[in-house]
Amino acid sequence: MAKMVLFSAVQGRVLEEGRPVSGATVEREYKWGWKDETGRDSTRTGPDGSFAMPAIERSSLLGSLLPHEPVVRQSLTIQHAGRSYEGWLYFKRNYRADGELDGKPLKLVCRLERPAQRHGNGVYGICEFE
Amino acid sequence: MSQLSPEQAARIASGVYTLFDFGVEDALKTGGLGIDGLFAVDRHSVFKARTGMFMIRKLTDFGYVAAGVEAFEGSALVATRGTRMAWDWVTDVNIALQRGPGGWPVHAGFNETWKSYARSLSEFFDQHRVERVHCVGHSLGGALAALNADWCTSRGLAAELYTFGAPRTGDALFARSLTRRLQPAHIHRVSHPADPVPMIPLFPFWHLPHGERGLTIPQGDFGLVHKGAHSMAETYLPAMTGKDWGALAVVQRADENAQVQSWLERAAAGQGGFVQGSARLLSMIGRALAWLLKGALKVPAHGVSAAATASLTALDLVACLLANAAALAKEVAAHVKTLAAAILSFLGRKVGQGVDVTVAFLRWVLALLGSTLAGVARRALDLVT
Repeated sequence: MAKMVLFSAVQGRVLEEGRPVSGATVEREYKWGWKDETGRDSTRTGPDGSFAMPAIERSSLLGSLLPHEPVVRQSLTIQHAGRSYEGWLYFKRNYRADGELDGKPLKLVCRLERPAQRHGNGVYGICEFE
Repeated sequence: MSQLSPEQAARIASGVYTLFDFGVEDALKTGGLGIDGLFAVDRHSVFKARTGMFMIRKLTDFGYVAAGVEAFEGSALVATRGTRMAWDWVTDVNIALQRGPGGWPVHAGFNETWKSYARSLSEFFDQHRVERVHCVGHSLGGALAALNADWCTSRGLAAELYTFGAPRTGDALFARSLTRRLQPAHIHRVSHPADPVPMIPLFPFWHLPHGERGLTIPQGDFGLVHKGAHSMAETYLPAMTGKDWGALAVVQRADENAQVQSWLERAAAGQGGFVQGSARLLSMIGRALAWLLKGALKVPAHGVSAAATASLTALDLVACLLANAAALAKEVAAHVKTLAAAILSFLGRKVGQGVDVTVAFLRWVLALLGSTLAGVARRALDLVT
């Protein structure tokens, strides 16, 4: 049974006014349409502001056989100094690895001073593609 | 009155999947609904619907109603999502017939889901006076879009229907009635030849517009049937980008003869994959019959005098024309044989080897098909009356 990638592996850096933000919490959430399944995990940024999270994969026999529209709601929220920042909001529409960016690895730069905005390609948040 | 372009309709049909039990906020943030500058939504626009059957039921955000802005001022949009979750497939397999919004026989599962949000439509249209309603959807959402259009026209509202990879929604009576009320120019049904969903449910369910093929997009790299061909975001949306309805229809007409001939040739080589009772097979039989008759009318009718044709029934005449054309050209004879085999397979009959294409044989095959279809139509009429 083929793996279904709900959230590709993601790497990123959190910066504030150009300086790395150490110890920020990056919370990742997903909601998978086919199984109505919700999940979350989190990590902390290192001294250089970087963070990395592995891909979230699932499998489903029925889902691999029956035609349906893949829809996964993805979000990244950054918690720092008592504030919450919307980093990433995106609806993934396939089950491919790195399917968010047409096969390119998910590498992000999140600048806390920037307002959350729409970036094109259906992405919203303060994080931009590196 | 404005019409949605193929790309606009496809973006809306794709975008409605981003309603995800979080209201419209997330969809608006990402621009996912595809309605910027066309329609306006608020948190009251979203409606929930119930899918599933018996004890397996689920209520989820399923679509939205929105008032038109700018070029679409005075119009409204009803967008419905398709099969996104396992419960939705339980709805899809409930293939009994029941009376739809307009009173004609429709797929029971689709109609049950439609009824679960019908009140939201009534509330919206009781408060908004509009001249035209654009009904858009993909997959199960396309079937619901057809029911939305059926409901609109039964209320005296003009409707425009746009569907992508939609299954058949009702029987021939429903399809004929809705086609007459909407008019074919206002029905935009797009499908991919390898998408399995438009191939179901089987006969007696019927596609819109009645008597026309709808629009198909290029085959691409998919085989005869492929689950991936059903994707709204990855198959239909890219195929609609930058297109207009007129150009899509012209490309299709040019391709029609080649498609029928290719189907007959593949079928003769044993690659037809005839399925008993398949509506797709019935559609191909109709198209092949029309194509062969068009050719048969161009050849001299040997052995069929003008005086004799006056006493023939339409069935006799069709059989005579086909047999006559088959007698004159080996290639046509092979096509007519394949067509007869396809009809017998549709009816669930065994196809004999080495059958001669005689008038009597063709008349028997065509009469058998005619009486079967008439029987199904009678049963459907019984349901309505």
